[in-house]
Amino acid sequence: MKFQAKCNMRNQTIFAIPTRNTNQNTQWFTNQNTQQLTNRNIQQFSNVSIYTSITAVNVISKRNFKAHWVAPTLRELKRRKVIEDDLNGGPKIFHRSTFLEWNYDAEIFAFSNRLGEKFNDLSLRAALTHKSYIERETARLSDIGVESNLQFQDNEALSQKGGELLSKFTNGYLRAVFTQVPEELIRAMHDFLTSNPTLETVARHIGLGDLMLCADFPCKTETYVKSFKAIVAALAESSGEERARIFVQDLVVTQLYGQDVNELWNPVDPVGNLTAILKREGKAEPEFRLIRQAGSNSILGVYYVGLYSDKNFISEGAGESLEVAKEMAAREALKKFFRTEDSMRALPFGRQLKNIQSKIAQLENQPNIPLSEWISEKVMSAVH
Amino acid sequence: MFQYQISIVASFPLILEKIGFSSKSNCYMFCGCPTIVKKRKMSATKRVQQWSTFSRMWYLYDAQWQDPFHSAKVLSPYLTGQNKPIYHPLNDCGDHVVVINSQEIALRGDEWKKRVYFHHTGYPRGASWTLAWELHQKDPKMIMRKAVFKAITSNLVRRTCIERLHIYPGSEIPEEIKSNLSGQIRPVMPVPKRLQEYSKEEIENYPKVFDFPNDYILR
Repeated sequence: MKFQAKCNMRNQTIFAIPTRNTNQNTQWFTNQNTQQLTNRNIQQFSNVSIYTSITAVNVISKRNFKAHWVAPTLRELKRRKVIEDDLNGGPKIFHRSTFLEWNYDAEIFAFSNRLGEKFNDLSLRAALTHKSYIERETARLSDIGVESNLQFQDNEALSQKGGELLSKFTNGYLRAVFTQVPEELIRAMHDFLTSNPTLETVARHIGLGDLMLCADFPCKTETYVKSFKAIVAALAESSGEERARIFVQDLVVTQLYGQDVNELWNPVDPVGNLTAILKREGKAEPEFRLIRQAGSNSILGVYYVGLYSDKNFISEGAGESLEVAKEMAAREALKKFFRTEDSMRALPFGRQLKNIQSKIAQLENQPNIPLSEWISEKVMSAVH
Repeated sequence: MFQYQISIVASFPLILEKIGFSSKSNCYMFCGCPTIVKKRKMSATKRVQQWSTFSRMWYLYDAQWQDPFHSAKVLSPYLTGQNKPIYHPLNDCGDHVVVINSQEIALRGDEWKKRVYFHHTGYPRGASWTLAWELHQKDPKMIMRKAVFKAITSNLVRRTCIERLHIYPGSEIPEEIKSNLSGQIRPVMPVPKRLQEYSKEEIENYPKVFDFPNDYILR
């Protein structure tokens, strides 16, 4: 028996767009009402919550019931499809805009609402338009013979500005939160956060893949990154630098969460650097002592070496040999000084940054102390 | 060797008074609760953490005047690794145990005379029954070894675990084993102090309820 839900409007897809936590409820859009969405009509949907919307949703649901003798045919078709896809270098993928009921205006609107930000329409469209797209369109139109008086603006300038802003905001955050850390590590964290893979991940996850106007499909990493940077600049233009800063903190800097920052950078000679730091602080030379060991004669031997300065315990390191354990002890000591141990405080985001945004802005142009001059008296006390 | 990144939930740092034979601390060295996250290249810190988590401890156990069967019950968790939070039957995380003075074990009651060890060669008329004292004369390590072997649950890893048990009849240990030692297991039964072990001062200063007068002659 075939089961089919009765619905008035066929071929209707519903897309729910979850919003960022800016106290806005999820809004449901159907193709009927996207055309009508203007600032006026928003009011009627502004109080709609996800649960009440479900009763209004029109969905085609069909039970996938096929007779058992169909299975071999389907299996064969799937097998052939897989082979053909492999020959072609992967399954065919289509841009979202080729599907039914693509409404770019609605998508743009939804995008800004999803992020909980207000964009100038022109800035946003410019941020999402690539030079390659404009070139392709003008070429296409000129082929047809139509004079192209397209008023498109590309995102070159915006992405340039956005890149600078991105750099600035990440540095500000890192310096405000990682007050004890030397500038080399700040730079490493900044480079990680503003690297192409990281920004591409962020760009993909906020849905730029569907929104960008570009000649290449599937879009290249550089395209994503450019768009994202342009978005940041467009936001700064539309809502101000303050909001752009918060945007970057919420989306880009959070990529640092769960990442061991010491993997990004650690000094080449930890023992030497540690000795230098202690000397600068006027403390005694570091002394390494064997704390415990097991299986010294066996292949699974482990040594624990403790680091002491003037008989005061600083840190402990383990290793399969004494040399490794010694180096790990020195590294742990440096991590302790820089407050980047595994047990360090979680990074603050969102509401926790409310009181220190001004400090973050202030530190954007003020680099931390480099490792060669690092001394605990000079670094500021922790912000959070 | 290991490529799996293990996330350590809690670590229990061990503090030994001095290297070797402190009887205070009997815990594993460094352990955490692992969950296999994903396969990726490890950072130096994580690699070292992994290494120390899966390292094996070497324990010393003095079997002087101890009941081998009760001792076996205490030693078998160390050999299988059940004292560790990373334990799994297939994890092969057992520690080494070095037993000394197995010559001096103490069986209860008349077990030396009555306990019998059965062996069959597999050939006809190959059955033999050996009393505990006879077996101990032949090989002073056997009783201890058999006791521990039985105490470990009968499974396929038992043979591997028993390989990590090193028994010595006296208190001499080879240098290569001695240098591996990292901990000590407390004896099961307290070893009483013999009169010969008390020093003269201790005997003189020992609190007495009553003592004979100096000129009293004991018959």
